Amino acid sequence: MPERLDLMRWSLRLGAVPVAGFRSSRRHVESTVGSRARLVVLLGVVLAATIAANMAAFGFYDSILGSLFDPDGPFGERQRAALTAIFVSSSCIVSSAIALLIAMIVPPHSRIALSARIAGASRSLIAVGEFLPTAALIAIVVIASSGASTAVIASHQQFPVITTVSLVAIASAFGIVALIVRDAVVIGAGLLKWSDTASRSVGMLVAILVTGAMIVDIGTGALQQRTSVVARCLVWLWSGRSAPTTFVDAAASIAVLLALVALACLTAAGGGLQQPLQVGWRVLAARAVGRPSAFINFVIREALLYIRHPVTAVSLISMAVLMAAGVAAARTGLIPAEAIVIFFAILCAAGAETAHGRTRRVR
Amino acid sequence: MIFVGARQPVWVRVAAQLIALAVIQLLLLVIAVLAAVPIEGVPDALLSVAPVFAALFVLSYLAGVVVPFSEDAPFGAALTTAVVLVAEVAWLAAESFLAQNAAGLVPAARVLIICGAVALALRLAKRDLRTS
Repeated sequence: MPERLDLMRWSLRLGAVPVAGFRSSRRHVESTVGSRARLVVLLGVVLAATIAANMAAFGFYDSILGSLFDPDGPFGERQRAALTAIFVSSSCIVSSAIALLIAMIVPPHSRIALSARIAGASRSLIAVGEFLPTAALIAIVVIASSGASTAVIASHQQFPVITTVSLVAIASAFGIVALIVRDAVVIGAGLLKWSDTASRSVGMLVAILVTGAMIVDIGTGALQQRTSVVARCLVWLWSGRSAPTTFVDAAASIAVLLALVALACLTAAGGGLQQPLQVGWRVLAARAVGRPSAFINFVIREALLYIRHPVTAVSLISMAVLMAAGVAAARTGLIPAEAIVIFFAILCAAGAETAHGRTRRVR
Repeated sequence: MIFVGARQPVWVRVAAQLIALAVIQLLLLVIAVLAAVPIEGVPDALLSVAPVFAALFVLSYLAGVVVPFSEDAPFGAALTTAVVLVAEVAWLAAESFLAQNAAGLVPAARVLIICGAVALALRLAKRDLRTS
């Protein structure tokens, strides 16, 4: 009997953390949007748009790709496999972008971890419980957004249900990979004692860059008629097939998803969800350049504080990354130098909006 | 939030912010142009882009003053960036239109936009900086 009671308590705890986490996220989004009524209207509009987009996309994909899956069509077996791999990997990458959008919307820190710890829940239980609603949300949004492409691919396979389950699992896994990358960078930046805002922003920036690199790889792979890294991984996972068709493929896809969920929980438990203590900023004085006038001292101090501020530091890092890409494009002759110089001017000027915001009074 | 120079007049604080930022951004611009353009073409490239940079720079600062922004409000930051990009694209389009139809008005328009934006930013910044 005591064992049964313990089991009941444990299941209640396991259920309580995700429910509390979901409510916390919902309230955060409600307060961001303005009110519950606005959130309902917004969700209704998004739902209607998603259904309409999926219906239109299904018609479009079916008319374009119908001949691709036709055995008597113009495509050979290898062409069919290559085009299917591109199509599948593209729909998987979309879920990475969706996961990053979700990560921007949900609260940046756990609002229940402290209460749950006081109530006796373990750190790992909290991490699992908090991540489950996010994983479920990613899966729901992936199903909603890539329903058309999944349906088109699955409807031309031998076992449509197996293909559908496998594709949803692997697309959700790609979404979770983006979150793991972000959390890993946040943990690394935390170990380097970066500020909380800078760590989160750089983590998001790196995750976006990784997703962007995968999109570029798929695009250039399709243009240069080579297999992208993503497609290669998927083909390896599905034993040489470009789309999942067997029970083993489905099992492999679900196993990958579960492994990544576990890894995501680990990275979250490692500090991704915990809010670090804020360290105060020292106000610097420009003594290193002798005793300049008050105004020059003030300007130098502004410059130093601007560089050290978390938001502006991320803005400068983003600028440097984009400039490096611009320099590479100019040096390789991809874009004319005149156009790149204008691009640099726009990029450098675009950071000015953060200058005033740094000292703005928070309302 | 750091309240530096709270006792300084508003125009001093705005000027200090603009000068400090301009130095940093110009340094970045020069480094990027040096890396992207052959060395003999760098002065011409910088001179040709300087007026556009100045106008866009002031417009961006103005957008940061107009649109609420703080590090605690990511949507506010995203909105600020969106407004900045719209303002920059609008300015480039307007300049292109002027260059095609009345090329002589381009320098005057640049001076006007820079002075007007600085004045407006100063006027609007008073509201925030006076209290902080």
